[in-house]
Amino acid sequence: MNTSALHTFTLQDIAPMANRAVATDQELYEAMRAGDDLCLRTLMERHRGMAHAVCRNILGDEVEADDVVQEVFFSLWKRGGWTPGDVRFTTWLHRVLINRSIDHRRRRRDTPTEADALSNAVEDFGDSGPDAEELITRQETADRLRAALLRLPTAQQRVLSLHYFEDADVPEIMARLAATENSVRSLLKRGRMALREDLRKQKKIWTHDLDRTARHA
Amino acid sequence: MTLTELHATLDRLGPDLSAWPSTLAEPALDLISVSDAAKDLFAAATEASLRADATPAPRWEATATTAP
Repeated sequence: MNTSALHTFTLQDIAPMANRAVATDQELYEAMRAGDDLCLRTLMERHRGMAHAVCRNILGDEVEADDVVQEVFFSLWKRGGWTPGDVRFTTWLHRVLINRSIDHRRRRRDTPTEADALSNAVEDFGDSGPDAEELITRQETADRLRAALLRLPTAQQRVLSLHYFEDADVPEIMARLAATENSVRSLLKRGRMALREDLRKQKKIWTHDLDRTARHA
Repeated sequence: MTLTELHATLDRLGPDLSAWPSTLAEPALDLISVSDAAKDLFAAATEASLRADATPAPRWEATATTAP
């Protein structure tokens, strides 16, 4: 390894500033751009208070303001951006901090919070489908129907199951059960009547149970 | 919001835009985001407020006329 070349490079390109505390912003900035990283620290120490206040006044949050200040100084160290002679360093710095803070504030406003996202999801669900109560009612009705069906004679049970749970029409039931049309229609009719009667009886019992539960609640 | 209105509102409410009602803060931020003059005005108001906060409050001391 050629150590003399490295040594020469170090001396030529990075000349540490003797007294950073009394240097002007422009001197510090130029030395930082030339590679004296400690000048960034001096610039930060010098302007951090005002930089933080500018960001906090826009963002309303101390931590977020700190983040923006760090971001801007990091970007300053990495890419520079100020042109000496155009405007004062502080004027330029404040404008950059303000722009960055406004960007942050708008991004935060446009990003939904967890609570907003949850609320939207609930609203979307309500708009597009049945609510939870309706789903429970549907499920209970289906369960009661199945229970009533199981109490019917086997032939009626079979025909009604094919018709209501497998969407089979009369010709399909005839084919699957090898039965005549009259027989299928008769079984469907008697099965429906028996089912209706059974459900009516059950409803009286459920209503009675519900009333009793409500009275005891 | 105009630059003059921003100036007046900064004088009245101070530079903490997060404490302003959003009906004033949003138009102010719209102006500040596009105008360098508005940015400089806002920065100057922040600096003045920072200086005022740093200035120690005057101490009231008893004088010969108020002493018993």
